[in-house]
Amino acid sequence: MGIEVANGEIRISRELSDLDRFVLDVIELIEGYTDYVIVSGYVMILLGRSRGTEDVDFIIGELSKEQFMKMCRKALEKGFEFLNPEECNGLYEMLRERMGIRMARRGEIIPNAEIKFPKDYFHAEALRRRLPVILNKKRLYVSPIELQIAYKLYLGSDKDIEDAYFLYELFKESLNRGLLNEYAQKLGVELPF
Amino acid sequence: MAERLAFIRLYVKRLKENPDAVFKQQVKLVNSFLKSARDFPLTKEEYLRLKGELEKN
Repeated sequence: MGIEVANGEIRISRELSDLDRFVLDVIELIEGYTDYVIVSGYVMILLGRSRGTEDVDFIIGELSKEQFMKMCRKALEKGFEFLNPEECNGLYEMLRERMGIRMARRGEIIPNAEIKFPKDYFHAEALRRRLPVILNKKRLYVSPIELQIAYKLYLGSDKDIEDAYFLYELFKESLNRGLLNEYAQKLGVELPF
Repeated sequence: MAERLAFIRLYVKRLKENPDAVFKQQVKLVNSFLKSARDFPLTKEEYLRLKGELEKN
């Protein structure tokens, strides 16, 4: 068991939590239709930080309405449901308006996946430069570590700064410092480490 | 904050040196967090309202 960084990917070997199993099931669904990247809290947990999260944030590549309708119906078939009161049509409209839709296992609220289309440069960048993480033998894509550090510093709460520092300490040997500086500059934050 | 960052430094050191023990504890924590969330059931509407998302839908 452990965590390693090599050849542009992170490899983690460990027992799966219920949250990991939920995430892997969501990925299996989404991957059939579009690209995705996981951002924020779950990434921290995946990489070993001890904290909870109730929702997992997915940015997905833009889908046509037809493709989304297929994905939505497949989600319902696979035992998921949406927490929003809208039907598939309405959910697609929400995505188009850059709002998040929430999907959970039927009958449950937590954990849930908050799914969005990219709404700004940073979302698009996270998707474009997504980083593979091999969890046991399953592949997941997460936002690049450099972007996460800069973005957490931009958010600026105590918890966010702790998350940024955790990522920095864990990956400082393999970080692309130029990219980290570039993101920090774009977000107008100073790097304290 | 300096103390909390020092704790994170120690935690990462431990994670790098002894990942099995750290991950094992972490999985236990995540599972118990989810269990306690399930023991405190909310309706979809209540949850979305708590997140401030019901009005805008």
